[in-house]
Amino acid sequence: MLRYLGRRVLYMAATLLAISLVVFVVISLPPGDFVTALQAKYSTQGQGLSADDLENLRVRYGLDGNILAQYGHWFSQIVLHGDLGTSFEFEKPVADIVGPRLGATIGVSLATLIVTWAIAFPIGVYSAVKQRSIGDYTATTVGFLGLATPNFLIALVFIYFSVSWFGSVPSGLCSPEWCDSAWNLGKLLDLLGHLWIPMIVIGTAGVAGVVRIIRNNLLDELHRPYVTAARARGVPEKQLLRRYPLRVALNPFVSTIGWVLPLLLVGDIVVGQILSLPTLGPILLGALRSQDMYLAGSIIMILSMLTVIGTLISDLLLGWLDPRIRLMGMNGARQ
Amino acid sequence: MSEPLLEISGLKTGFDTYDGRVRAVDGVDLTVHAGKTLCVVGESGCGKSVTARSILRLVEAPGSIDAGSIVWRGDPEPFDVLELDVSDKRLAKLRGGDVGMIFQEPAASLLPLRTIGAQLIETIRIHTGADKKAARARAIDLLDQVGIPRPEQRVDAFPFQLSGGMCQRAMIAIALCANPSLLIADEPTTALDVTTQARILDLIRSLQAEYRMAVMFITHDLGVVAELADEVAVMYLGKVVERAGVEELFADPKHPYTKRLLHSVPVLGRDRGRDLPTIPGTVPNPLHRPKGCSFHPRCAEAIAGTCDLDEPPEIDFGGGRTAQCVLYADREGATA
Repeated sequence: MLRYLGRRVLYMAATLLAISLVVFVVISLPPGDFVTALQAKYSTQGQGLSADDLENLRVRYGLDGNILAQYGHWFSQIVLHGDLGTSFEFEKPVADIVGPRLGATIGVSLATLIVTWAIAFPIGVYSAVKQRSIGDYTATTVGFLGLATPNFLIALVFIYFSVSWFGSVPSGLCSPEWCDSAWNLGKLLDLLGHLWIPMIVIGTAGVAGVVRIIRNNLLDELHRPYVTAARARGVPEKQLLRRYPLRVALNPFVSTIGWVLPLLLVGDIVVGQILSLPTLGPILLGALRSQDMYLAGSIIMILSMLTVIGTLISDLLLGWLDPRIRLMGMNGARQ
Repeated sequence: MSEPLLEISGLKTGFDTYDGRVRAVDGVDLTVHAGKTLCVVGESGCGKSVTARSILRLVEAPGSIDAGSIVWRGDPEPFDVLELDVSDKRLAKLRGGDVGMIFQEPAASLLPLRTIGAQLIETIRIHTGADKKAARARAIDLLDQVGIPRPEQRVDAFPFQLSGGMCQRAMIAIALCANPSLLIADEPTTALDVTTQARILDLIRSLQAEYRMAVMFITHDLGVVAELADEVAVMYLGKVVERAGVEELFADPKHPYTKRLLHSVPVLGRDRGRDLPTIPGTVPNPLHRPKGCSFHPRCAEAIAGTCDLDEPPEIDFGGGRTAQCVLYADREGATA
């Protein structure tokens, strides 16, 4: 088991190294750099920057070397000092920008996720058990609509109705009067008052997706011989469903649970932007646009790391849930 | 002759397909006698498995039971299984309690994610209400009875850690857990190799004597029939075409299909150097059942103008012998 874990961690390190290289190259690919973007910004404000100014800025930001040197500098700082670099645009360390938004991002995403699963799971099971019933058709049809409607559209619809009915835009996660206050009941209620909007907006597509996964997984299992055999030996229907096909149907579900981690961190970028949520998504978007390469690169690196860690967690969970993987897969890995 | 335990009459079970309804079982009458072995034999698709599954109401959509009655006489008050509500306690008691059932694919019939012990103990507790400890002791005892070596350890084994034969033994242990009076075995040895098959048959035979239970054995293997059966029912295209005691059937088959079937069993020595006799043609699609006798297009003794027009009569030869064939309609002593 330890050996298996060790191997996995080694693979993870190699994967992350490769990802970091790709991320850095891709971010540097667009013509120009942060200084070019800055120059464009100044010139729209009527201020020109001389060639000397530009060169000085490049030296100051460390953009004068070649890409490889920049990459080496960035990556070694992360590995050796845990220093994610400095954001050009905010002129602050990346960690100071990402840190404060982590709480809000994980909060919004986790709440959305739990609600999504709590709603989707029973619907998916019902839909499979009562296949081709009116309830199933309703769930499937609504699910299709939910999947097919882009999240940002739902967000826009929300904003439209909120403006025309209440005269205000539901933005952010707190009202101005509560934002800076310490935590108390009033702030919590205020947060809940704001939280439901991103939850519904992000949740609809999520529910539809999870319903489909659960339904299809379960349909695959419901007519297996072991179900008939269990019924033939008198296992009551409810117990039968829970202990037999549902357990197997959970497998594909669990194997993708790890992918939720990065999603938790970045949230839904476009929805975050539209609803002005204080999550990491809008920051990433802004950083990519202004070629704030250390900020963008660091966020993407964190996401990749979470993806890789999430996959490991999924695999360990699967091993715990499915003895075939635990007893055969890991033995195989040991040889 | 011993008491009838289970009486199936006029059973019709069909499946909805895109091309119409398929009558997999088309008016089957069968009787299982207490303590005896009834072998139901027939080709693939003749409806023998569906008949077995109908008994415990295991036919799933798009299939359903259309007509007939299945009377269980194992209780002081006999009842028709087909008239029970699915939530009826008598059906729950029948499934796994009075009637144990084993299947063709033992490994697939056990949930791979739970140990055989967990699945065995679950069944014991459902039917006996024993506590966990007692149920586990009983589980180990049952595994020992069905010939699984080192049962104290195997009770915690997962199905994929056992061979097919061992899985079938575990299935038999589960079927036995509440001392059933009937064991339904749906081709339990088809997926096993010949040596394992012989051992499982021996096991079933010795357990039958020990538990004094009746066995309904579904098979397509006439060798198995000869070895195991007291009575035999031959099925063809959803109907029972012949019923007989096992010796009578092999010594004096009545129905042309049975005759042909027995004729096509290879005999060591006799068949050296010559082609094995076969039944010409194939089983017709049950969607397009031939008019008259279903077997007439393949029958050498078919009478034109009769067999291709009229349903053959059920001829009763007495002593539980019947054949659905017009050839015996005017025989003396036989009544239609």
